[in-house]
Amino acid sequence: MSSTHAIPASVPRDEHVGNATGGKVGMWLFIAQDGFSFGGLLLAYGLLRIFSTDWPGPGLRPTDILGINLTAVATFVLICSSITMVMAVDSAQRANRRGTVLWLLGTILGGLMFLSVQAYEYTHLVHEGIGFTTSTWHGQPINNLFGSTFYVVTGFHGCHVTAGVIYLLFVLRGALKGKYTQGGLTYSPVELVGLFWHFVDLVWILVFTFIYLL
Amino acid sequence: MSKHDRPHDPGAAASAAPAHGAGHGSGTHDHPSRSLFVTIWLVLGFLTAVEVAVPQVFNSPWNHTTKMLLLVFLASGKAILVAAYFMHLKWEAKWVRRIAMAPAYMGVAAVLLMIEEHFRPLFS
Repeated sequence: MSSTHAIPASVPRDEHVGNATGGKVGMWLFIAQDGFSFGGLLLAYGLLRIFSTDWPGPGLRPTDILGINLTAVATFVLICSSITMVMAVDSAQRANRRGTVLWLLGTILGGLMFLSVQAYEYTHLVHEGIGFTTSTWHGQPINNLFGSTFYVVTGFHGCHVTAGVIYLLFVLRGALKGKYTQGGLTYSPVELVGLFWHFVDLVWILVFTFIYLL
Repeated sequence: MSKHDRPHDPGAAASAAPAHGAGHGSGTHDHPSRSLFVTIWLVLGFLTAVEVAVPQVFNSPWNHTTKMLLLVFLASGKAILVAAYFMHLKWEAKWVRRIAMAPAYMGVAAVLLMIEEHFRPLFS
């Protein structure tokens, strides 16, 4: 007699949330409230920018100060880490332990690369005079709110990437032990970390547009 | 789960996956294929390249609005693709989608505040 029946293939269907597990609904609720946090920060950034006569400074545009090409590469790296995350979830669903581990490693690598670029960018900007409370550009004072809002929004996102990498490392440990590739719903933790990671990617898409490109 | 509850052979575990795949998310869809995910990834990469090009093409003050609308449109499109396909929202039940859509209220708040800012001189 096969013992696979002991591992639930799905949770009983609910009228409102379908076959979503409790963990998935919980993660979505967390993501929603986190989305409000990012939304509030971006909204505050937008309002401060609208009411500023010179943003980021007289005759300057954000693209003059921020390294668009480097950040575009970081953005693409984050998008690549999203596809590796999708593949990790898919591998776990197919009970493929090796695939799950390798794709998770790829995702972690993408996250670390993104954080490295962010650290390099911060170092460069600080050397150029863009501080958290006061900012100058080529020796000339510019709108201090530019640096403040930039570091708050991108820093908050960077904290999420860091948390995501740590979360991924914990899941990787379980994946190495084969905990998530036993069929049925055992893959669920990989899916949950995936939801968080994709959310981090989604938020960066918006941050990249509103902070860097506009 | 006790150890003896687990499948004894990889084949059994693997055979459980397609059964689950059919029941993923809302439980009413087939398991999305890897080629679909790769296609979405390529589209996202292409849209990112377009995004980077937009500020260089529309760099005059007179086409600032066009640039802004294009960038917001592109970012929204990318965000929707990530949410719908990578986060599997396309296949989720309606209440999960509603939870996910809740932060979009911030976009509504942003539009309302911009309208207020636009018409403020009329009332001051």
